[in-house]
Amino acid sequence: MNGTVLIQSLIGGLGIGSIYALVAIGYSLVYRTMGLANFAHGNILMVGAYIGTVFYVSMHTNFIIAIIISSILIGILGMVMERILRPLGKMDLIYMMLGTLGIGIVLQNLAIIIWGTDGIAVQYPIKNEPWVIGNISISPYTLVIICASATVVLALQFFLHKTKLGLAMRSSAQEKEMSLVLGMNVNLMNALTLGLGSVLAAIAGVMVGPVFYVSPDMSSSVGIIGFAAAILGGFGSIPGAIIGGLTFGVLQTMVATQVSEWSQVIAFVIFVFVLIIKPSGIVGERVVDKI
Amino acid sequence: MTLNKVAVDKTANERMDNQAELTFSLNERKLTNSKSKANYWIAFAVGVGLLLPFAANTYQIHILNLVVLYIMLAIGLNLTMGYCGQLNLAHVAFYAAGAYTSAILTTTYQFNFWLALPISILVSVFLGVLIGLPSLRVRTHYLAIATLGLSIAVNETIVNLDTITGGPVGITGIPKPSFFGILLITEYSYYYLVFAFTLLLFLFSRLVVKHGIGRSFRAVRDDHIAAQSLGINVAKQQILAFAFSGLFAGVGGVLYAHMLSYVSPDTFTFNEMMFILTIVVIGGLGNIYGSIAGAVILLILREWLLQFENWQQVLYGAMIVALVVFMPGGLVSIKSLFQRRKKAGSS
Repeated sequence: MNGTVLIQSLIGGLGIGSIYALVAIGYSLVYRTMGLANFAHGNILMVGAYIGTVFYVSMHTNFIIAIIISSILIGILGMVMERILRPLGKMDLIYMMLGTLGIGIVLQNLAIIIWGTDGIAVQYPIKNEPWVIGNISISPYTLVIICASATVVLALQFFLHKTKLGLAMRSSAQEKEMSLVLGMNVNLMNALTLGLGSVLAAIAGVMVGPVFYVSPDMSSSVGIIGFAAAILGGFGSIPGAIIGGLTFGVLQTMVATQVSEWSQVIAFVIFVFVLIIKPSGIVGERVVDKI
Repeated sequence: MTLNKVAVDKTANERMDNQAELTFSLNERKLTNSKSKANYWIAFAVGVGLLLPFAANTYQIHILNLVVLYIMLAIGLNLTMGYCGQLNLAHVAFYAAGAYTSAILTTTYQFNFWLALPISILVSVFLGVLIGLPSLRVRTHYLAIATLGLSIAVNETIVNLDTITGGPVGITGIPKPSFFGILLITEYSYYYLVFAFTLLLFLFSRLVVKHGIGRSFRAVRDDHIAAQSLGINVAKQQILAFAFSGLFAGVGGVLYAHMLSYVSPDTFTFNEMMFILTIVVIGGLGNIYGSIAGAVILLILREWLLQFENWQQVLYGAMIVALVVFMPGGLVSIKSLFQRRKKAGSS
């Protein structure tokens, strides 16, 4: 692997990695707040991508406005989902998994009924002629994805740490009973968190549209890798999700430049080896089992 | 003393678990009390199972074959997940290993079915042990995604090794087995082969669950640290659980390949994994009879939903959500659900 290929795949990997990071943050946010591994997250991303695409491709709205509309609608969908999932929050992981998967199946097949299985090609919102610096060529849209994702993450951190609502959300995630005593509406906070996580998925979904096809299949590929990224970084941690997402993206792209068809296999095997070496993820706290 | 402390430290979640466990263990005790009664029921069910093909048309016999096959797959997953508490999402990879090994051996290398069968089982059990290794280090969500990732890796490997496995197209023309000179060419005769293996593995699982291994499994599931302190070799039990998963899925895979005479990577996907998992959870985790009921009901449900065409999957998903939310203990909990209602009403 020479320097040119290395830098090119690094940038490409960071681009797709920041999409994975947004998805992974969604998983971690919901897990931290509701103790729920939301397996419908990938399907939410797919529905978000479709809604954005419908506005952008069919109705010729501005790309950014399409993202905003999709985020709002998906945010509402996420809050509705909280009501359905509420009884699952206290249950065993397997039941949560199955319940959220059930919702995922419903969303997936509704999307197939509405939009068909074919998938939609989305054109780039900006002129995507590769920039050539020396002999490295970079797609500008990749840089747009990286910058936009970074902005979204910074805005999220600002919201969670500097606003009153963010504080309420964090506190109800950390101490449910205490927050209830202090008069917070914990269920509403949970709904907001699920909504927020879903908004991140919607943004990621619309942004990734021009790179991939927008199709019902995107939910399983991006959804599963996003979950793996969240786990790799340390489940429940936002910095972990970012690190996990970027690592996964770079790893996958770098393997793909060498042996393209084996990239998934090698990425997952390396992922499992990292987990075996560091069972709680890269930045995850070591959880000591209580007796 | 320690036990008290354990009880104090349990979260609400675990408490619920314990309650479920209590009902299960009560059920089990009832079963041992009326052991002969249970045996009569099993004999009766076997009789019905043996006679059913005579009443079935060609379509129904195909469904019957699948039901019996899925009972086997579900019991295997239940041993790992329901009894030993290992979140194993790679069951379908072992299923694929069994199916593909036997398919390759009987087509490319012209092996006899009865020779290919034990080799295929060995391969899938070995894969089970291999994929089970991360369970020694990671648990819960972490184990779920590790096994899922490895399962996807296995599927991709099958697609990529196209010179051996036929790639995305798969392998066709897998020969039907013969049994003492009788070629099991129709689905009617094949049914008895699947039925025999499922019955054998069912009896085996009953033996496992009732004896030392089953008790160790449940101890590992409920509290692996306490289990270790009681002298149970937790690592060994976990690997054994994955080996069982490999055994059941391996046999199932071989039978599946020779039933359809065709295998392709499309069969062994995440969706298939979720279908088997749904059977186990809807039937009742940690209950073999639940897995049998779950397989019967979910396969019939799947066929019944076919009439709704495009909406079948939507309805299927909605039903799963409803079942999980309203009946978390699975089908086997119906009885205790009513009992609890009654108790709540009287007090």
